[in-house]
Amino acid sequence: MSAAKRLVMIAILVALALVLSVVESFIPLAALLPGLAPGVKLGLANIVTLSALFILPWPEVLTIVVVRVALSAALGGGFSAFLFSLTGGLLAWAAMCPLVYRAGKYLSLPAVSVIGALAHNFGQLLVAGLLTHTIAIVYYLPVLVISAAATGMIVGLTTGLLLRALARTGQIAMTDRLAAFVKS
Amino acid sequence: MRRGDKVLIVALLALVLAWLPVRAALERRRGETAIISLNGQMIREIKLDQLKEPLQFTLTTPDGRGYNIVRAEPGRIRVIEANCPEQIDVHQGWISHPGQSIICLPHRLVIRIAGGKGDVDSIIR
Repeated sequence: MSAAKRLVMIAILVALALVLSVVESFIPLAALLPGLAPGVKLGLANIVTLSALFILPWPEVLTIVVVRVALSAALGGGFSAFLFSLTGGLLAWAAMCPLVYRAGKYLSLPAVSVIGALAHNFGQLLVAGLLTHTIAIVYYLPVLVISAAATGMIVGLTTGLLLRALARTGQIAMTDRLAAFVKS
Repeated sequence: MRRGDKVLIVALLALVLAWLPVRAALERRRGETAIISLNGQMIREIKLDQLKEPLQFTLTTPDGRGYNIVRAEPGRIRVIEANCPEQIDVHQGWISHPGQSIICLPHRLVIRIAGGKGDVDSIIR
């Protein structure tokens, strides 16, 4: 991929992730699913993180995550929200990177994104615990595990559809790691 | 469905199933004491089982800009009103069992019912 195309690709993906964050903030999960732990997010921006791992080298995906989080915080949300997004995004990226490159034979895309969502949620629990100096939030662990599984499935399936479409139309190269996940 | 997928499913199920009996055991005991802390410092302790009538008070953040109105009734406690942006603490409603907590992150407020796994000896400094 040429340097110019790479730059444009990063910009498009950051913008996409931002839009997904905004759209997701309009869905009132707390109202639709009462009783769920507060702070449960769909994590749609992870569609971009996961897809990007197949399109660009992994360090550049880190750039996308950090820039997206920074812009998202600049657009609205306090310091706490920024810390949450950052930890969640970084941990999800860190968990999914090795899996994308090595686990194509053993895991499906939804499984990888579920693990990413688990890392994301765990990161958020960690930040919440550190900010409030208690581990009382551990009470919410099982709910977050279940929600990570649900949202991870959605993200993984969507990512699969996106990547297959991009590969089929020649927008992205069929790299080894992509082939491992997409071709069975 | 690949090999690793099944392992993941089993692992997650195991995790959730292992937690359920713990949670059930916690919920069987009605909470006695609510511990309220701001910025990690315990500022108030309310014995919910000894309350005769409702108790309502307002907590303000150190910078004076944030507030939470807390109401304690016999056996339960909640945040009635607050000026934080997401209102997550208000939406949570009543808590009454050990281990349950209401957290208002922007105001660094934690209301926890003591007696469960999150008891005094597990506060992280």
